[in-house]
Amino acid sequence: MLTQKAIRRKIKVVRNIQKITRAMKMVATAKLKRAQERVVQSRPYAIRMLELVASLATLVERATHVYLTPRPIKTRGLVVITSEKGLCGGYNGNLIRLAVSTLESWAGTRYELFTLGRKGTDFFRRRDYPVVKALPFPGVNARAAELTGIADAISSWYVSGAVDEVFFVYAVFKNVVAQTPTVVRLLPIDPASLRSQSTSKRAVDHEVEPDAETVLSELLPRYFRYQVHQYLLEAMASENGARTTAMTAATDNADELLESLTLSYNKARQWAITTELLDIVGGAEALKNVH
Amino acid sequence: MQGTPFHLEVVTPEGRFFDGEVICVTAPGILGSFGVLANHAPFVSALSLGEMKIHEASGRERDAALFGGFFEVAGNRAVVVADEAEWVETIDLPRAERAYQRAHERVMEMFPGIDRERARRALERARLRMRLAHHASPAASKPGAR
Repeated sequence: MLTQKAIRRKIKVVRNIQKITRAMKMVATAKLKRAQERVVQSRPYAIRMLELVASLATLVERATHVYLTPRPIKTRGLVVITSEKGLCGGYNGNLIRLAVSTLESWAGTRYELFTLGRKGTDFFRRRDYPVVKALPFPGVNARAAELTGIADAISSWYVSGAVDEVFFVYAVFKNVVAQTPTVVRLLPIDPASLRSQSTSKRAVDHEVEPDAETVLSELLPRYFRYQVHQYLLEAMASENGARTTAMTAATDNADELLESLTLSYNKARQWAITTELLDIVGGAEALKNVH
Repeated sequence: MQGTPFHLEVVTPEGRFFDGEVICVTAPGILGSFGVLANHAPFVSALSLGEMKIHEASGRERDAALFGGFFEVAGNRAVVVADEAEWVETIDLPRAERAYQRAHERVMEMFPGIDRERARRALERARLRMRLAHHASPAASKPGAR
């Protein structure tokens, strides 16, 4: 049995840890809120962008553009999103597991990795995976230009011919406790997906200015950027959701631990008092016999 | 300005920029500026950097800087999907001037390439902001003028 002093020290340590986990939980909750706000803010743009793309879908289906035309697959590219910091439960582990199993399913084809987030970068670098690009994962207050920079880096990776297909591993945000790691193909863009994504099905024959080719070469990069933005915002929400959940659990665990430590402390104290009393009573008895 | 009102919505990745009834809107198309009135035939146009003028149904006229995007008209509704937009009166002129200086230096010293292309674009954006801000308040363009 631990001494009273040792138990007291332990209680203090657990209390301090709990203060930290509680603070981290609050920070993660605030960041989650910010990430969700950004998703809401960009929603009008998202809706109009998808409508625009859908209304030009017939044009897109006939078009040839580097984003649309599949190439023979010599090398595949995988973008893996993880977090910069840990303490977010199984978030990174689940994403890395999905990435690894995706790569295993590609056995036989060459592949390259593009990691966003230090956790994934460290994991794949340490195991000598071909990580050709690695960037930090942007924080929830990252400027739009930073997200666009990431989209452009992915785009030039594909356009330069280094990879013939780009897949994206990220966590879809279901709710605070559930984030589902998912793999999607980013490039080439599937023209059929453009039509299906829009909520309103408008079939308007538009006059197009200056000409279809120019409009598409302006539209497709924006559509691609918009998609990367959405995935990144969703990953931000997922990461902070996972962290909120993990830190809530840690704070609750600390509560439980404190309860059982307090119990042992009281037992130890009781035991000490009993022994002391026995000593005194025993001593008194002994003195009585002397007289 | 008299005319039939129609609905205009301008959205950017940052949020909804404008949403309301207008009489006429002028936008910077890639081939040059164009104006749209009510009951326009459906069309889509790519936009370049430039000035967007909105004549609201209430009679108010508003100018904004537009940094690329798309213009779509269908069913007497116009939608501008812009990369970025800024009302002329909210343009921070000193900031635009500093950005112009910075971009100008970068364009001058760099070899052709992606970074130079980026600097060139920054230069154009700063130039547009300066031009529109000067236009809005001519006094600001002449140092010393009151």
